[in-house]
Amino acid sequence: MLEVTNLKVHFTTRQGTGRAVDGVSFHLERGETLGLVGESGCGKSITALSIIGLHPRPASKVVCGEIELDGESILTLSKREMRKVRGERISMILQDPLTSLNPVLTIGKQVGEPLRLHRNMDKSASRIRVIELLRQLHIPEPESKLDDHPHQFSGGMRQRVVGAIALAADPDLLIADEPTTALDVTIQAAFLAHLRAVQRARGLAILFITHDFSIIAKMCDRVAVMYAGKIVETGPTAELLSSPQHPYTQALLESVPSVDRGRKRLHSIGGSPPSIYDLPKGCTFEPRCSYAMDRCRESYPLQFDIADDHSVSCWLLE
Amino acid sequence: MSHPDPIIGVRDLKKHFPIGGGTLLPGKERKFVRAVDGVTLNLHARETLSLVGESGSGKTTTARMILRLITPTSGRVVFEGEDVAELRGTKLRHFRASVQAVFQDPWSSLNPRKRAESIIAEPIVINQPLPKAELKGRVEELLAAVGLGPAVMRHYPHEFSGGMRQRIAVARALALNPSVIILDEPVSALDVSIRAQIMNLLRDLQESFHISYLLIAHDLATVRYLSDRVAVMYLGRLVEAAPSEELFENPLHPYTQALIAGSRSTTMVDEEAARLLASEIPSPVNPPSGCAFYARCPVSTAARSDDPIFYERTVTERPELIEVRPGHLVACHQFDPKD
Repeated sequence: MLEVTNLKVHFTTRQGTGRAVDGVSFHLERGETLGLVGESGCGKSITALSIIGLHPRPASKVVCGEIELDGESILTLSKREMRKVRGERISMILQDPLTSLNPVLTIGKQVGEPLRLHRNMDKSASRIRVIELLRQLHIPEPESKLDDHPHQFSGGMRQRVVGAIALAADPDLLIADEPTTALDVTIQAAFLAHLRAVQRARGLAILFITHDFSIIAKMCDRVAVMYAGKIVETGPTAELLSSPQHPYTQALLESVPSVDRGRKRLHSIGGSPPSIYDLPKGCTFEPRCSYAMDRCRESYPLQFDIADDHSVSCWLLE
Repeated sequence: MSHPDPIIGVRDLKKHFPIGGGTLLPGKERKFVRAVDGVTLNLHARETLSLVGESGSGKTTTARMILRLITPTSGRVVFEGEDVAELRGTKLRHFRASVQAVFQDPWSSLNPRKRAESIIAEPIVINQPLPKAELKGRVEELLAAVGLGPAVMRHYPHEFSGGMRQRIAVARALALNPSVIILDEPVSALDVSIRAQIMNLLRDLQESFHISYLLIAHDLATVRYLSDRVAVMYLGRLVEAAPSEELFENPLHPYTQALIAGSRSTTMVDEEAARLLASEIPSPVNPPSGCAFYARCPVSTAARSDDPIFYERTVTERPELIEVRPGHLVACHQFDPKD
């Protein structure tokens, strides 16, 4: 359904060229959830934003690659056509529910907007649909909340409102960029359960961006691990989490604590990720990798398929 | 709780913040947010005690009262056997030096106009002045303890990454050889791979300097990795406290169970549990008269039809914190022996 091929998004600033996204390829099918994991600055959010054409401009630019939605390129669409895609087929939930709602508009207006603009509903029809949407996301007494403003809602409720807006026009693809990071654990668990229920009911495809492996394990069918603008490993969730092959994935998994792990000492990755303005010539992880070899310094590794749908970019697997 | 003398003892601590105005109008009652509503805790030598709970549960307010940054409405904080509120002069300075803090955001907790050297040296300059040469040596020593070289001394905070800044904040907290460090969400602003570095550093420092930590965190995985004991707060009160291992293996309070289930990678809550949990946390201005958690609690909700007498109790009667096993306390009607 969504096919991203060799996508490169570069920033041009006084510091030179920043390779924020540097050759990313992945695909996503209907009803499937793909997790995109990585540390901040690895390019996961820019990848997501460039899919809906909202990467910062003119600072950044898609310099090469292809993004296809149902076999049709969306990079060449006009602004007007792109707006239609964003309204009807792809929607997005951002991390911070406090800033993604308009503080001066009522909840009813904001949730109803995509319905009026993209589904040609009139006021009364959209009102009924909005109440239904809010009820599906477990907002108590939705009828009485339509004329409330965002500040009257708690963080967890606001994120559910953001979810209702994203799902209002019944999109095919939802991009969720750290949608639960700002929420408390219990509210987070509830939000994820709602999202899963909606996905099952409608066959929604979800691109889930997060740095939290416990969420990946719960939500995603497949995972892609990003490092310095590139996907270094991708595979089915269970397989990738139980037998990670790329040294970065291994190190990352060994460095996160979990409630089931106890006090067993964590392995920490020394150093920090490279600057996107000054990437190493060879493998981008080489300076921090404990298995680095001479050839890692010379050229970026090819992608090796080690199993069905499980591929790794590392010379160790040649 | 087998140790006789805690370093810090918190006794029935309360903080009620007044809200709104209107006290001048006769007959109008002043309203209060019961941010902390009767917390009792002990922090022992060399242990890590974690306070966990969702935003608004009162954990940071409790920490700030312990640090004597805000005055409790009632209750006491006892440090080395003395009431912190009564400390004056040398004793107060000794308390200030002994109880240090590291905060969440290393971007706002370091003065951007000062070099790392003066940031770390400041507590020493104020509290235990040293000759210049010795001071520099001491700063180098502190930097080495947190894994940084002497070269960073000349640099300003903006030149450092988040992880390095947090190391500098830890070095500053160590400067006066404290016996207690309060860690308020010390790693939650850091990136995944950096978190492990800082958590390991905190554990190593505890080992070598024999410090007690009071850790405030909402991420249970972090809590599990760092703590010896855990206390769970909900709406200003403790709902459960136990040795870490015991709490994670055998949580008793339904709220603790929900928190742990939410943090596990293997459990997905079902729709019904999700709907319950998604209901709002009650207001700390008018907390429910019974158990503060009853409206979100699966046990209470199930009892509504199956066991109306039990349900009635959860709605009307506040559960007491009871020791159900040595060191394991829980405030839940299910475990109240009065039944």
